[in-house]
Amino acid sequence: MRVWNGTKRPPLRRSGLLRRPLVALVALAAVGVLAAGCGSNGSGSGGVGGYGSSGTTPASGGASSVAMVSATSTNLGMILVDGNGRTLYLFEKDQSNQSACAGACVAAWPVDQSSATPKAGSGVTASMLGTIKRSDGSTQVTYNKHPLYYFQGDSGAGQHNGQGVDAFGAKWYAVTPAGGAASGGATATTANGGGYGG
Amino acid sequence: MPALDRASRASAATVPLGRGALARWAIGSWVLRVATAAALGVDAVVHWQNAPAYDAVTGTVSQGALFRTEAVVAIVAALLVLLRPRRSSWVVALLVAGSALGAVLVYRYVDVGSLGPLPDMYENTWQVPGKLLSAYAEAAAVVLAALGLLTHRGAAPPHQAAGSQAARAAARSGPRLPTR
Repeated sequence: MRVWNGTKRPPLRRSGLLRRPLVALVALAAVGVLAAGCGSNGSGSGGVGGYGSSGTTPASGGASSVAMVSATSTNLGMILVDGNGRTLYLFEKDQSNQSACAGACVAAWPVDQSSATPKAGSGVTASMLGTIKRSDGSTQVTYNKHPLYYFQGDSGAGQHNGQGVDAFGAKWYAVTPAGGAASGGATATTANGGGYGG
Repeated sequence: MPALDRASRASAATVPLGRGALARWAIGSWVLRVATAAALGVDAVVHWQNAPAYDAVTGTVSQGALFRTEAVVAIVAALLVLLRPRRSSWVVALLVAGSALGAVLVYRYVDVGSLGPLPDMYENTWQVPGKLLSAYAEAAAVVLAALGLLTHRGAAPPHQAAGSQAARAAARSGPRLPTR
């Protein structure tokens, strides 16, 4: 055991965190980064919902209303949009009239819901429109047997930021009036132009 | 020099913390541990919640299974840092957070395709619930775990490095108050 018998206190030698003010500052900065991350909540270009977010379906495609699908001209060519002009997408991983997107996927790619057979707007083939029943009981709009989705990264009409995005195991594309994948945009190289056929 | 003297000198090197300094050190250490564990916890929750959506992304193992593994490992690392704050625990936390951060950045920006048993996890978007938050948490955990490792009391100051076993034992024992 060390015995200290002097009257003068030995000099304080700070250690650990307090020995290095810079270290403490960096630690605070790291906590700040974490807090900033916690604060990101879906607005802005890179933000996403919190990990508990469940995704919000745009109002026009709400379950209690009949969806409208029409075609509009964009720099991707003619693509399908909803009644408010929001771009609709197909998911390459989906099977014919069967969605492969659930959970976090639906939060990022909200489904286009409809309470009944959707209305055909200008430029779309009414006979290609349909609906499927999802496992959660909701009804999703289909076009040429492709289940249709929105993209959380689109904040309004005229945007198609989801074109060519690779997520949840396959790519996402805007939909052409012919029922295939739009080939324009950043990375649309494997467009499934033929749809599901039959 | 007698062995006893050497041990005393080595012990004295770790003794001089005053009560205030000791309290501040303890608080700082605790904050660092809690913050690191919290960051790892966020990482774990996000991966666990998102795992089902990735079960269909398969190689030899599915991406969903990898996410669940990451969640469990992150929780284990968080508990180690909280309950057993040793050098090895900080190393584990650093490795877990660092590997997760590296993976999310690589698969966000580089299409590496399938690698061995790993599925093709390329995903060129941050628009996935919690993905950005998880990346922030992983980055914070990396920094915090590195700080925890650097400031861990087991890291003997240079003047103790050549000391006896007693010096190393004294360093391991953490800060002490003077004994009167």
